[in-house]
Amino acid sequence: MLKFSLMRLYEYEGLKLFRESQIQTLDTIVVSSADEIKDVELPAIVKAQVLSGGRGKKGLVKPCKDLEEVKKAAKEMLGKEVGGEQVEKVLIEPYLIDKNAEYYLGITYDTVNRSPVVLVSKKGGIEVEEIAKEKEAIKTLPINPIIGLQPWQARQILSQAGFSGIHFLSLTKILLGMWDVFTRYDARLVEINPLIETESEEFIAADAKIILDDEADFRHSNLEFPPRDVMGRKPTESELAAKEIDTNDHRGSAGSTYIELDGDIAVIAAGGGGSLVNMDALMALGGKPANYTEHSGNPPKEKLEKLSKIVLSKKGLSGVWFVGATANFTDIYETLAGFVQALRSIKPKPRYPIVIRRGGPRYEEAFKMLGEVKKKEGFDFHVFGPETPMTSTAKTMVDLANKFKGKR
Amino acid sequence: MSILVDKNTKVLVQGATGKEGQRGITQMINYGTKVLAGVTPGKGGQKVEGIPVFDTVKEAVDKFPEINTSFICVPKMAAKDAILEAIYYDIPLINVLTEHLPISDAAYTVASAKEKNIRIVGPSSIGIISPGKAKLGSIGGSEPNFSFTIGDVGVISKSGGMASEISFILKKEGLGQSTAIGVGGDMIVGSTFADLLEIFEKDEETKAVVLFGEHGGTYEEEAAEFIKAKKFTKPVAAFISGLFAEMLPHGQSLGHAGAIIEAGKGHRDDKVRALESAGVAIAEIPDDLPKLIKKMVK
Repeated sequence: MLKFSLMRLYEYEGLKLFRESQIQTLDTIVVSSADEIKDVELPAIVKAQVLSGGRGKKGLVKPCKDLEEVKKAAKEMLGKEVGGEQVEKVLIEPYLIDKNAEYYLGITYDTVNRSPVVLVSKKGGIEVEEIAKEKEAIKTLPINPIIGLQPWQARQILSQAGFSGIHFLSLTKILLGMWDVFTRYDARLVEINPLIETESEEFIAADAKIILDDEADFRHSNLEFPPRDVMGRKPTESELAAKEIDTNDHRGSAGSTYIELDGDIAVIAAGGGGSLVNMDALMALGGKPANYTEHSGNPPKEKLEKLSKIVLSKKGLSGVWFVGATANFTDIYETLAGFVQALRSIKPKPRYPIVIRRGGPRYEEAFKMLGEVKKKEGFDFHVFGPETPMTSTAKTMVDLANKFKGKR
Repeated sequence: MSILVDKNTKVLVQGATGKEGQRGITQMINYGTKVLAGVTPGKGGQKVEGIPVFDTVKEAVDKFPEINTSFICVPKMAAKDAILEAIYYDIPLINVLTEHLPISDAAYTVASAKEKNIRIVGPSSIGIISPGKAKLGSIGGSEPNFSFTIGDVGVISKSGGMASEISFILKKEGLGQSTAIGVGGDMIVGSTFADLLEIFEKDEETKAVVLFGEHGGTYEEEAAEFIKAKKFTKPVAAFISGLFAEMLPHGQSLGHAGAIIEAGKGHRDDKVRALESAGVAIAEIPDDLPKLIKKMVK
């Protein structure tokens, strides 16, 4: 299934959680307009607050020597669009000149041990993907979630990573602080990169990467993080319209998952895992999907009609694929009736092939209805029941769409 | 034979009076599964399909000490507690239907079960079926015979819908199933492909196994290692989904620390490569699975 269950925090939000758990950070200010910048400690660094990584390479982290430069950098960054994400806030922090070293500390979940795991590396301050290439430079320690991270374990992994002396106690405290954030907020990831060691041997978290587990939202109803887009880009008009369908009507789901794509085969799929397999099959056979959407849990006719209208409104389609496994309790007559209702409203009248594969409650009735509509209204329906594996109809769809394109 | 579920399976349903619980109980009884008791805190004394409902697992197992399986279909807020309650009373097989379980709860309950050598299947498991013997959970809906039939192919699937769809594809080509299991697609699950291959290896009735995997995590790679190490010696065919999902911007893995742990693993390509190098036949589309199995099983 597609997982939309992660909530990435902005750096400034993460730093706030670190401070709560006694992890030392810099004195930062966060502004959403350059006019708010009055007095900053100089030299300073201006950092755009975005959810994607690799900010340095994208020019979203700028060292500045005076106030003018700070304001200029902030002005340049604010409102800028990076990979579909708009910079709404910048963070300003003092530029640390007495840096001694940069380290990496992380806590996340690991599918090998099926438990949380602590990661420590002396090679911090670079992209994690780079750190990942040097396996021996990273030490990992799985943590039994029943017992939790113990101070001796923190000391052990730090020792293995090559730390000793005064470092030991300060870093142990930081790891335990991170564990506190990790468990208290139901995080999937808590990461400090870089953790800066100053010449006076102080340790400062100079960035915060935290991803929360949205599935645990029922334990954190008081958390005040504004909602954010999980797609990494702004939703399109169709995507927003599709989302509306479920927001206003909670019977079944139709529209919550809708992604606009640039192909020419419209897809109305049913069921989470199965719908993705159908998309795989379509792509493996060279088909180009115009969208991805999935409905399940017996949505009523009206919801399918609304969703189908959005799907069918796309220009330049060469086929529509209505596909799903044999449903356990979704009413196939209702859902297909909604689809047909939407088809009738499309101008000009769709001439492209429409491949339907469905099974489940009332499907025979639904197929009879489709037969009549085909005869009377002349839609190019190709209907398959549960006796045809759903992915086989991917080939039918691709072939018919190609033929249609050839004629056009 | 078969694995995990058979004629001797005696089921407790935790969350018996909820929508999923009632539906599960009806379907299981209709298929011939022995459902002995239900638990819903606060609803003790009620009955679902004639099955007595208790307030606590303790009361249920005191009354029916022969219970050896718990089917858990409580809301995610209550799931950790329900699983821990079943573990405390040493129910050896716990099948968790509950979806959207927080990962911390999954890790905690899986670790707790491990300490007592208890098997969890799930969370987000559609259920387990040994055709002709018994079924656990919602697998196959109200007409399991449509998709499933008695046979000698084991099916392990991350997707519930695809457990049925793949079994149906196999059935159409004359291949029945010994046992089909929905393991759930969550990042942390109680039973992985490798965990179940280990039991399928010992099951004489199972001649081959089909896997349905998805991008993300490392359970497919773990299965490949397991097969490479000759711990599973029967033919395996697999379909790995993810071609489309990985094309999407959020289809990427966790990135960050995930990049360190899963370096060279986790993507569909990584999984396909690992499985192929272990001798697993990879299907381009699920419809090819029967052909691949038939080629390997002489």
